[in-house]
Amino acid sequence: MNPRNQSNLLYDRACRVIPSGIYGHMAPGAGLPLDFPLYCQSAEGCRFTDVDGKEWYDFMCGFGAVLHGYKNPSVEQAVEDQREWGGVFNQPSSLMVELAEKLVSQIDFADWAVFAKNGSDLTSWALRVSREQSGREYVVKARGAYHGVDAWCDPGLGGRISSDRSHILEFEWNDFEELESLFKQYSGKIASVILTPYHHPSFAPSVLPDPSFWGSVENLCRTHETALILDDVRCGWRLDDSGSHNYFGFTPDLAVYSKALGNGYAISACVGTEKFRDGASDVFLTGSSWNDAYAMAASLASLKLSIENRVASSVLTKGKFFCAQLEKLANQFEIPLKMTGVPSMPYPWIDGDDDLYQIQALCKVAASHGLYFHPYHNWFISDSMNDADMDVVLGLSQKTFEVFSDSFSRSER
Amino acid sequence: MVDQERLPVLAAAQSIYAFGCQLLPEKLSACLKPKLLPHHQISFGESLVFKDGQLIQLIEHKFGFPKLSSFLWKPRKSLQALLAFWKIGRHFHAKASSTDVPHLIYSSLIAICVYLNHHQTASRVFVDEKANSLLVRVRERDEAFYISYDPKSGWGVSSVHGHKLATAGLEFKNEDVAIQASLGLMNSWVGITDGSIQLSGRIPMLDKFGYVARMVQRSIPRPK
Repeated sequence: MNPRNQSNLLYDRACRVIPSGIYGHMAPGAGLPLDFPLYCQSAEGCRFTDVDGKEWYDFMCGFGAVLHGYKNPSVEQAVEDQREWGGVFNQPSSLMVELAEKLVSQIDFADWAVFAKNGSDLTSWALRVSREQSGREYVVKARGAYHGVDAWCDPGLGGRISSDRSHILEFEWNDFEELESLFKQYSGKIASVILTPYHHPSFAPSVLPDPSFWGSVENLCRTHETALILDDVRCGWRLDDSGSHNYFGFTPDLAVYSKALGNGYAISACVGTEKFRDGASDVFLTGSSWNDAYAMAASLASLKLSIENRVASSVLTKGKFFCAQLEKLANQFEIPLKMTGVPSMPYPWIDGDDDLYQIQALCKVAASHGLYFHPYHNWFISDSMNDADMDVVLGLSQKTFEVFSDSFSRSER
Repeated sequence: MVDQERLPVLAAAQSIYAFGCQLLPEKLSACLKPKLLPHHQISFGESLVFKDGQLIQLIEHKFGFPKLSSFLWKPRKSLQALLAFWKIGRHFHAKASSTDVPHLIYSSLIAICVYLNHHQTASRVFVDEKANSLLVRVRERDEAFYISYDPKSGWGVSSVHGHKLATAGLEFKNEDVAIQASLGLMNSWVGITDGSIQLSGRIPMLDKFGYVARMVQRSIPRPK
C-alpha cells in the first residue's frame, strides 16, 4: 500500500465539507481506493505527482481532458497571452468568433458552433435542439452509453423520477435491427439518435461499430428526418483531427466536443448543419463563465497543435504500439489480456474476467509500480508520451505482469 | 406490492426477526415472525400486535406499547414475544459483542433484501445488472453472508463458511467496522476510501447494492 498521509488528511478535511469527500467518476470507490492517489499535486507531460510526492505514469490524461500532455507549453502560452486581456467579460471576446470559425472550417459538415463548459451541457442541449427542430419528443441512445450527468442519461441512481427517461429509448450497440424496430414502433416521433463514435462503456470492453453500422444508422436517420447527434466528447481529436465521424466514415447533423478540445481548460462545443441553425437559435443556452476567453485561447492552441502535429494519428500510432506490447507481455505470462476499442483510448479486458476481480488485481500491482492503469474506464494515450517514456512504462509493465502472473495462475487453478 | 409507506416498518420487523432467529431458540424466535396487518398494524408471531407508529417508538426509544388486545387474546405468546424483543434490544448497539457481529450483519442484510424485493425504486435498480450475488464478510472470520437473487423467491441472504464464488465481495476490516456499518452508524463512502470496507469484483453491482443500503439506512427506524 502506498504511504499517502497528505491524501488522507485532505480526504478527512473534504469529508467534513464535501458530501462523500470526492464525488463522481473520481470518487475513490470508482477506482482503486487504497491504491490510487486521492489528490494530485502537479502534472507535466504524461506524468503526474500526487500530494504525497509519488510520481505516476499516467494513462488517464485527466479522464481524457488532456491530449497534448499536461502543461503543454503552446497551450499554456496561449492562455498566458490572453491573461493580459482578461477572461470573462459582459460580452464574449473575439476569440469566441475565432474559435467558431476554426471549428466550422475544420469540421466538414459544420456550419455553426456554440460553446459551453462540459460535455453534458451540450449533449443535453443538442437533444433539445433536435426536439425544437422536429417537434418530436423521443430520443434514442445506445444501452449503457455515457452521455453526461443529466437525469436523462446519468449512470448514477439518485435523484431520478420516472418521467426523467420516459422519452429516452435504448438499443444494443451494433444491433441495427433493434434500432430499426424502435423507428417502426415510434414512427414519426423520434427527434434524434445520439451515439458515441464507438461504444466505450465503463466496466465492459469497448465495441467498435460493425462495418455497416454507421452507414445504416445514417440512412435510417435521413429516411425518417431524425437528427443524428454524435457525442464526440471523449473521442474528439483522438481518432481524427477533424472529428471522429471521419474515422468511421459517416456524417452527423450535430456533434458535441469537450475534453481534449481545451487540453485541460474547461470548454465544450456543439457544431451543426445549416438545417439546425434555427432550432439552435431558439433553445436557450448560457452559463456563468461560458464565454471564458482563457479556455477559448487554449482551444485554439490545442486545435492548432492537433493539425500541425497530426496528433490523432500520433496517439493512434503510439497507442497501437503500446497495446501490442502490453498484450505481448501479458501473453508471455499466459494472461489473456486484450486491449479493446481504438488504440488511442484502449480499454483493458481479461478474458473470462466478467466480474472484474483479475483486472482489479492487475491494476493494483501496476499502481504499486507507479502506473496509473484504470481497471474500469478506457485509458487515454497522451501525445506527450515519447519513446523513452514508453520504454520505462513497458519495463514497469513487465514487472507488473511478473508479480500479477503468480496470483493469476493460482486463481486459474 | 407492499404498501410503500409501510416498508420501513416491515424491513425493521424482518430485521428483528432475523436477529431473533440467530440469537434465540426457535420457539422464542418464532414469536417474532412479522406480518403486516391492515390499518397500519403489524403482528409478531400472530400474537403481539403493534400499530406501526408504536413499533417505531419501541425501536427508536425502547418505549412503545403493543395493542392491549394482544394480551387479552394470547397473553402467554405476547409476553414471550415482548421478552424476545427485550433480549434482542440489548444487542442492538455500537458496543455489541463479537458474537453479535454475524447476527447484526445478517439482520441488516435482511432489511436491505426487503427493499430489494419490495421497494418500487430499489427493486428496479438491478433490472439491467447481470450480476446477482454478493459475499459479505469480516476479515479473518470464516463465516460470511451470501446475498443472491432467485427468480422465484427474490433476494435472500444465507450464511456460508469458507470460500464461495460471488460476482462481488464486500469485506469489513474488523468487527467494529462491521457493527458500525450494520447499525447504520458509518459513512460508507468514507469506509470505502479509508479501507474500512473493501470492495472487489463487479463494482456496478456494489454501487447498486450500496445505493439501496443507504436508502434503507435513511428510512428504517433504529435505536436512538
